[in-house]
Amino acid sequence: MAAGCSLEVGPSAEWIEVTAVAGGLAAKLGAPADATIPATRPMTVRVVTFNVEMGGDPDQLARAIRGNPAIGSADVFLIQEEEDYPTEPAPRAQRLAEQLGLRWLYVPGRIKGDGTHGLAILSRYPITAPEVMWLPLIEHGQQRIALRADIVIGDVTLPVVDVHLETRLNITDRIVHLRPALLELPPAVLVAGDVNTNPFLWDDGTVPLIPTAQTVDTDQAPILDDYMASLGFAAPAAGVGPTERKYGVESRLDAIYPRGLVSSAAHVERTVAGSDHWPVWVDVTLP
Amino acid sequence: MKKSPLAWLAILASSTLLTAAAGADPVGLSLAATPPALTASAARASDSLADRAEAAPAAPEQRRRHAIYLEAFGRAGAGGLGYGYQRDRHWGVGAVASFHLVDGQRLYSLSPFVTVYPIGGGARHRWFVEAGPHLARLVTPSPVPEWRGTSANGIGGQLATGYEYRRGVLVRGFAMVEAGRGGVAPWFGAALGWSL
Repeated sequence: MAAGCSLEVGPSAEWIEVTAVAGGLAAKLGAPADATIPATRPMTVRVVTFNVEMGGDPDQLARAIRGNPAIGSADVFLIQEEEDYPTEPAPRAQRLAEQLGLRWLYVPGRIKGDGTHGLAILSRYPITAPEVMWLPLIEHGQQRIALRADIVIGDVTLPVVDVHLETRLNITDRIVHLRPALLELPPAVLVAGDVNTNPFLWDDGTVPLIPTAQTVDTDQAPILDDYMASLGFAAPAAGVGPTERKYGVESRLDAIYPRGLVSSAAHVERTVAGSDHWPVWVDVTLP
Repeated sequence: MKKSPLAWLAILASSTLLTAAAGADPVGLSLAATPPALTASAARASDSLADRAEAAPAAPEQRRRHAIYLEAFGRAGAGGLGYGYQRDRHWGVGAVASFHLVDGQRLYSLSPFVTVYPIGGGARHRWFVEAGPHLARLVTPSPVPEWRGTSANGIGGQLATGYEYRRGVLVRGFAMVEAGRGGVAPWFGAALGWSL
């Protein structure tokens, strides 16, 4: 018989306008000089979630994205693990967005070295009303954030939430970690990101119970899907399979959860190189 | 106060070593004590050598058929309580059970197995191979009011092989593979306990 230990989950959190955050964690945003708004409102928009693993080579990443017919001309990218360093010519999100001809918003979640690490939204359409939430801090973990904004597509506003959750969490703590970012959202919204739903039960946040995972289903992804369903979210990415392969372990770490919206089935693009994750996308039908 | 399986093993090891250092048998059965069967044999000291060989008792460790131990990592993943019954010098049966509470999730695990000592070996140092099913149940209660929680059951198979030291104290170290719906994965474990 054995008793496991639990990680401490910090207090709940609130949405803060990104303009209220100053100093090293201040948000940055911009648009390419030749950015235009499409003259006609489309029937659908393609939304991609992509953990870019620090985005260290924006040029290569942009080539990889442009080279994929499914996401090369996508309308909205929710990006995780983006970074910004003063020694580089421009924020990596800006360099990636400009090569894709998209508007961009970068919101740091924490200081990393002499730079920052955070989330970004790239969009063909204006990005408005951005807010950030410092998610409950997990014991031994890093500060994670959620980024919320409205994508203004003609006369329609598409609220989106970009999230990146802690890694070595069990599903119960993962739900508590994510929940504050879900509770005050409008009825029609799209939540996506790297939710890190790995296939293991973790002992004290350090030891994955590998043999247990072979016998009983400890995969966190379908459980998080089930939790999201209790809040009215669909899980179009439930059947996409792994979105990351590392150390021989395949995991569905990334997800897209629309609510109050009509969306296609999700797809994962495993030919896109440049990150340890693969991008996942859906088409959202606008009302 | 919560302790990890490794911490419990360390406590058990310390207790056993301190007991041994004090000159006491950890289970109250002195290894040097003369078993009743040996006393009977001595009473026939004038018998022929053949007769005496016929009456020779089993070595003390062969008579310790039962073993209980704590396992670290091993069959249940993060530790468990094991019992083994040694049928004879070549094979036995046993099981490791555990209840593990992690972040509110309850993991129940039971691994019955058959033990084979392929070479037989000495009474103290042996190589063992064990195989058997692994039954597990994972209950995930909801940490929030808007969700009902979930649960899952599973069955897999385990094959373990390793080294065993058995002389009052039981020490084991082993490698294993687990196969089930999730595939096949290697793992390892260690155990510390007593043979009785």
